[in-house]
Amino acid sequence: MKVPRPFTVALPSGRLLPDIRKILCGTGLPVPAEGGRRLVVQSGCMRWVFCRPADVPAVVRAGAADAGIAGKDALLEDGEGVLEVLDLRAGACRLSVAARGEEFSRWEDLLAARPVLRLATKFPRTATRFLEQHGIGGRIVPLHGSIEIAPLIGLADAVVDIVATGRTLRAHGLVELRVLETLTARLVLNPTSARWQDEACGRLAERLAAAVQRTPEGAVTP
Amino acid sequence: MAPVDAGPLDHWFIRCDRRRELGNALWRLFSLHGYRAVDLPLLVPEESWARTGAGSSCRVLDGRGRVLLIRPDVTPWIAARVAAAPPSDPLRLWYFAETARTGPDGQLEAGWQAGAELFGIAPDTVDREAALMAARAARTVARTPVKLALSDARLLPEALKAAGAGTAWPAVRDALAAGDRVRARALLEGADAWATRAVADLVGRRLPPSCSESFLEAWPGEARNVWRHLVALAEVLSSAGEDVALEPALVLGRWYYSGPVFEVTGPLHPAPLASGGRYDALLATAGRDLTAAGFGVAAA
Repeated sequence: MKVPRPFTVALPSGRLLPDIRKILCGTGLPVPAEGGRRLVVQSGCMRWVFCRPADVPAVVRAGAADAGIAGKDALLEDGEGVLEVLDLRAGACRLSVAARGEEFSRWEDLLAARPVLRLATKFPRTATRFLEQHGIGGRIVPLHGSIEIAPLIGLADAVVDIVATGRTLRAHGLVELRVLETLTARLVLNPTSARWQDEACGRLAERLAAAVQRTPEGAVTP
Repeated sequence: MAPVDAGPLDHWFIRCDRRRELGNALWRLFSLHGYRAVDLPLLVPEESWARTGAGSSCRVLDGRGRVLLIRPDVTPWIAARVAAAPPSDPLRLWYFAETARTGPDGQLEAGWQAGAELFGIAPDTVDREAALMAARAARTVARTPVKLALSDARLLPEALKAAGAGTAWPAVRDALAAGDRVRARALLEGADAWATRAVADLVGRRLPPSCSESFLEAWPGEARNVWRHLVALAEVLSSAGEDVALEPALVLGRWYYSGPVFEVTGPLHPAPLASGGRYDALLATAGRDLTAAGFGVAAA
């Protein structure tokens, strides 16, 4: 028999966390102080779990957390089995195709020059779906980091990666050719928790929705 | 096809024992309620599957060059056989079969699934029986209390049609089936009809049957009748001792549902334990006018 545990929310560590913390502070919920090296923090009647942004959907799907805040990029890649219920409008960025600026200035030019497109990405499922939906012949080159170097060393024709300001792309001589998706942080719920802990899930969603409404434009990182 | 755990052989034996135990418990349950067990082949001839109208799956060639297909779903296969058979008394079938579906990575994922299909049951009792049996089967598998979430595959499309926004339905359905309620709401935003706004408002809401009457007036056209039927079904299930909630945004991923649908969850299981619903339209495509309903139970 499992021991009942407090209502648990998974939060993404890293770039999204400061913006999410700002929104959470406006909810009146017992938001944890900076966790430091602690990855599980009990605060009041709630428990907060800090995990890698890409792992939040898996943690919520498995029921280890009742709710979570995940980037849309993580949900596009691995979002099956969770309920996406609220757009927190934080951490706005884009998932885009980028290629070497000195070779291509338009998406159409890239497609014409590369009938079988090699795309380097950390998001292989999303990129594969994009190719299939648009009938583009291609091959995915899955990488775990430093995606930008792939076109520079001949590993791929283009990259599919997250673009916030475009500075990193420019620094590597890449240009953004096509936006696949606009990304923001989302509140996700485990479908079982949404039914068995519906009051706690509803309260969290309502408070976050109110806090998002109160958060002035520009208070969270674009 | 079933994957074997790495490590000591004990895992292998435990998995096999658990499956046999589960199969026996389900056998007792379904036999008690007059259901007959059927064997389902995992590999079916491609031409017979094509007649079901269901989506495709992995194909293999046999020694004579005949194309066989790894059956991705159970219901269309059973429905096609029943539709082709001579008329008979009401049929209550159940199965405990190996399945193989293509996962998000494009890899074939093997597993076991139990379920039941009901054909030719009286229209006023078929939904009740299917939902009750799904709840019982889920309790047998999970050994915990369960909750039923109830909706109707006609509810939102009818409401949108009456609101003049029927063309939005395929995209809204896909978003809801994928669990993306943010996108479903976004697709419905901006429509100026009051009913579309009412639908958008209800997309994420779960209602106990007791407070559903006040929402009746919000549904336009045929959707109001569908909602009324759903409320009545929820009351019948509640009086049978089930914990039921109406959940208008519940959309199951299968294309063939054409009436009430349900999902069963248990407190210790992160994924739904069972789901199913009414699919008369699937038999109608094969020229048979029969009530049909069924459900699958996750037996992993």
